[in-house]
Order: sequence, then structure tokens, then C-alpha cells
Amino acid sequence: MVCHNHNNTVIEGLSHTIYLVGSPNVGKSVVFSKLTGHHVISANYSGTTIDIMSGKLRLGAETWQVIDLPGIYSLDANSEAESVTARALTNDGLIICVLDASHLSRDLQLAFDIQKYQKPIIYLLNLVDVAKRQGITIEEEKLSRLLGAPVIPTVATKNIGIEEIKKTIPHLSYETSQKDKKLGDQSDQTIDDMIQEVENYTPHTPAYLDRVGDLLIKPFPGLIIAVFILLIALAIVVGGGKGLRTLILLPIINDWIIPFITNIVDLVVDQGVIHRLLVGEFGILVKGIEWPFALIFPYVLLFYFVLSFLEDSGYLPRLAILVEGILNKIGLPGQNIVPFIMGYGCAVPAILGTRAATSYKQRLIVTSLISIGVPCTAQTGAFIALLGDQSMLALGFVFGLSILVICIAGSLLNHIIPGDKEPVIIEVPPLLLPDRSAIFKKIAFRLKHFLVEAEIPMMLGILLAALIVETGLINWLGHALEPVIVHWLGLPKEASLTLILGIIRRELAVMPLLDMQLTTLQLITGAVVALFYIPCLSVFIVIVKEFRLKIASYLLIGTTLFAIFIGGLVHQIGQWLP
Amino acid sequence: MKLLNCKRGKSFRIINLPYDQTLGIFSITSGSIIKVLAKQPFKGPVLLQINRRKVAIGYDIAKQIMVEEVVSFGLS
Repeated sequence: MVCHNHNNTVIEGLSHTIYLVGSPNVGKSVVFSKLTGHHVISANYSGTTIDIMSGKLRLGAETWQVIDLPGIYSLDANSEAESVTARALTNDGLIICVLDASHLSRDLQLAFDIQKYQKPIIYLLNLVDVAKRQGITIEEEKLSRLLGAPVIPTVATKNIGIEEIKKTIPHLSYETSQKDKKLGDQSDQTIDDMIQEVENYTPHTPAYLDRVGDLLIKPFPGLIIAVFILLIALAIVVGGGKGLRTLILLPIINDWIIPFITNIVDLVVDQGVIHRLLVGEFGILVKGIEWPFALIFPYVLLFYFVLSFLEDSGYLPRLAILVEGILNKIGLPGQNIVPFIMGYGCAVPAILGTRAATSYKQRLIVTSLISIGVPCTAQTGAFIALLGDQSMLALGFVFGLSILVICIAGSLLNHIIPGDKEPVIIEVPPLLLPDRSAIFKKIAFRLKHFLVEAEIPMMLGILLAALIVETGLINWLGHALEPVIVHWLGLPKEASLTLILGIIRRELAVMPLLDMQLTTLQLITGAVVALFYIPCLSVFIVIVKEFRLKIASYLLIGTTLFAIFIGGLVHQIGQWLP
Repeated sequence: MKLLNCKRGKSFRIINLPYDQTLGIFSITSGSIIKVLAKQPFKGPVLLQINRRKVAIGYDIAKQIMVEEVVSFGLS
């Protein structure tokens, strides 16, 4: 990660520090990205920034530290995000307060409250394009007078106004601190009066996108459209991924790259252990390329394409509102469907994402469910590679079982874990056509992250597999685990490898099964065990950090036993079926 | 009358509501005028329009909110 995590430390206030403050989903993170050139994940709904991010902005000879604070509605320190922001603002620096031009009445109170910190402030009037679409124009000179500070209209996603911010910052820093300046005249006027003064609203028939946005959130046709959208997403990821894999990536890698590498290794290295470690059954130069790039990459790419599009369009909160009631009925925290969907990408950001606004109980439920039964995109890719070619029915069964277990586990945890139900209040963001370059950057960022985060552990995992196989440790392991693997699960001895590798990464609990010539029942059993088996090492670490070791250990032991129990059940029942 | 029994598409004035910090931020307070846009099935959230923003409120809060109908402007 390029960004530093300041969550647990006091933020050092340099005089050259800029704090980005504003309510959720006004685009602080986009402004941050544009100012610093660092990419941070932003999306069109509240609470994407869960950590404080910092980056550097170079202006002439000077370097400024820019700090992106989590979105807040007020400075009353009611939530973790609010107290973090309030604490950070006691340090020196200047404030960029981002306001939403389409919802100025909501943000104006925060705009005034922030003045009590007596720092130089620049106000950004962001989302002026959305406001305009809704028939709202703001007179920024008047607003600037009322606030007693510069106001810059911006459309951060489209780079509009960013240069102006950079020009304004140095001037502001040389001004005397606002201590001597008259604070805004809030006492004379109410927020409503001020809005009357600066805002011009011409009601007009809602723009096309706003009408679509409204339709998407009505039970009819919203629910029907939701089903369609999910089916299309599934078709893009599963169908498109399979196409990419079989038509493009596998031929290139298996017919060109791997023979090329094998030939070179043949020339340089003599037959023997090292040769086998490099290009043998679990050769890191063979499997280390084939598995991540040919089998997993296409699904990761397409999943993040779909996810990024849905995130930036503002559809996800609409989906959360539509299904909240239904999911609540089956014991799932419906308003948390967003981190849940993220979990199908990668559990790490999903678990971190539960921090945004939810209670401890909700966080724990979502985290547990993701750990137990939500396959990450890499593992999904592995399942499709393992089962998709054999039988689509088997693939459907595994995913169906996953959903069934999630529902039952959700309902159980909801009863077991103490705590109240959390009130649901969700603001509906405007529906936007995602900006192409923003989506592209976001996918690139996530793919880069995947390649760094996944490729190295995967290589290490494959190396471990190769060592276990080459040293003969596999026989010992197979013997030790025989009662479980062979008798209870009905898998060949070598499958014990999956239980070891699965600790490192989720998809590694699936991949070794690919070359074992298994029956369909064995494939399903193996897939079921891998699905419910412990989440990967990085997820475990995140759970320890977020919930302490005790809960992480419960999850670790619980998922392992559960995976083997259900896997065995599938095998034992499957044996008796025709 | 209860918010939950309100007709979609009409405007109502809130006369009583439970205390919740977040409601205040969205200026959902006693006296504010809201419009019911949609009610989600299975005791799902109620979608309100307040000023020009749309906020979904969970069933548990919505059932405690009492409203009165606003007759068109100028008559009352």
C-alpha cells in the first residue's frame, strides 16, 4: 500500500499539513487522489474511507502532507470516525472542507462547526455537476462571503477545479490565521436563510438518470431489475472469465510461455530435485504462472470490473435498501450487503469495510459469514476451473450450499451474539454514469494489489507443495491424515496437501485437486471442504487485528472442523446416491 | 397516523419520532415535511424524500414515526 495507516497514532501536525474534511460520500477521497496522485479506493456510497490516509502534494518548492479523514456528518464525536477527525483537527495545518453542492443544507452546519478549530480553510463545492443536473446552482461568491473563506466549485472526478485548489493553498498559508478574522455570521442567520440566499433551485422534470435511479429503488420494478443485474454480473464474471481463460490465456500460457520456460530450464539445470522444483509437478515456474495468470486472473479482472462499476454508479446502497427486509427475515444483516458483496472479491477489504457504520455485533456476524462461506474471487476462479469443465451442476451445488450455510449461520449468529438490532438509515446517493478513467484506475489499482498480495504467497505455497511432494513428506502427511482425508472425505491421500496449502491462500485449497483425476463426487467434496475451510492467512491476520486473537482462533478452529464435517457429510451422502 | 400506513407519493408532516442522532443530520425532525417514495417488502426500509434528498429508514424506526397529512399549500 502506498498509504500510511495512522489509525492508532496521533497525527503529527506539521504546519504544512492539509486536512480533508467533509460528510460521507462527498468525494474527499477523489480530491485526495487528485491532489496527491496516490490512488485510494473511493466509491459512490458512504464510508469508503475507513482509515486515515496520508499522501504528499508538491507545490513549487514546498511539500504538503495531505490527510484524508473519514466522512462525518458532525463533529460531536458520536462515532469512531467523528472522534478520529476531531482529534486530528487539534493539530496545526489547514483544512480543505469538501461540501456537496447538491446537498448544501446538510453540509453547511459542518462547514461552520469546522471553523471553531481556527485554521485557514478552503471550502470546495464539489459535485456541482450533480447539483446542476438536479436544477441547483450555488452562488459561490455569496457563500464565500458568508463563510469568510474561499469557496472553489469542483467536479473532482473530472479534474475540474483541482488546479484552482493548488493555486489557492499557498496564498492561504501566508495569510494570518483566521483567529483575527471574523468567523462566519452564523449567529445572525439560520442555515435555512443562508441556503435561500446562495442557492437557486429551478424545479424541473428529473433528469433521465435520476428517474432511472428512482425506479431502481422501488420494489417494483427494482427487485426484478436487481435480479437481472446480478445475473448479468454473474454472466460477465463466470462466462466471460471462462472465455478469457480457454480462448486466450490458457493457449498462450500452456502452448507458448510454459514450453519456452521449460526449454530454458532444461538447458540450464540438470534433471534432479532442483529441476523438478522449477518445472516438475508443482514446479513454481509452471504452476506459479499457470494458476494465477491463466486460471485465477480472468475472474479477478472481471469481478473487479463489475464491482467497480456497481460501486461508482451508486447502485449498491440501492440494492442494500431493496433487500434489507428480505435478508433480515433470514437472519442476515441486510444493510451490510455491500461489504458482503466485497467479500466475493476479497475478504480483507470487506472485513475492514464493516468498520464504516455498523455495530460490533453486525461486524462480527458479517466477518464470520465471510470467513465461513464466501469464496473470494480467486477461489471462485479455482472452483470454476475445477468443476466448471466437469459439470456446471456441481458448480451450482457448491455455490447453492454456500448460500444455504450463510443463511443458516447468519440466523444462528444473530441469536447467539448479544447486542441490539442496529437502526437502518441509509442515504441514497445520486445515480451516476461511472467515469471511465476512474473505473479503469480503480481496476488497475486492485489488480496490482492482487498481483502483489496473491502472487508471492501463491509462489511460496507452490514451492511448499513442491517441497512436500519432492521430499516425500507427502507420504507421511497422507498417512497421518488418512482417517480424515481418505476414510471420512473419500479423497486420495495426496489431497492432504490441500489442507496445508489452504492455510496460505483460499484458492490453494482447490488448485492441487486439478491434476488428481478425481471423480465428480470427489471434486465436489474437495470443493466443499475448500469453501468452508479457514480463510487465508491475510484474512486471519486482519481478523486478529480487528477482533483480537480469541475470536480469530474461534473462527479458525470452527471453520476447519465445519469444513471437514460438511465435506464428509457430502461424501457419505453422495456415496449412497445413484 | 403512522408513517407506515402512509400512501406513497403524498407529503406528510412529522409530528412525533424516536430520538436518533442520525435522523437529525438528515433533518428528519418534528415538523419536517416528508414524502413517502417507496416501502420495501418484508418489513424493509421506508424510502423518504426530505427536501431534495432521499433517505431510507429501517422498519424499526419507521414504525415509531407519527405523521399528519399536509394538505396542499395555501389552504390550511
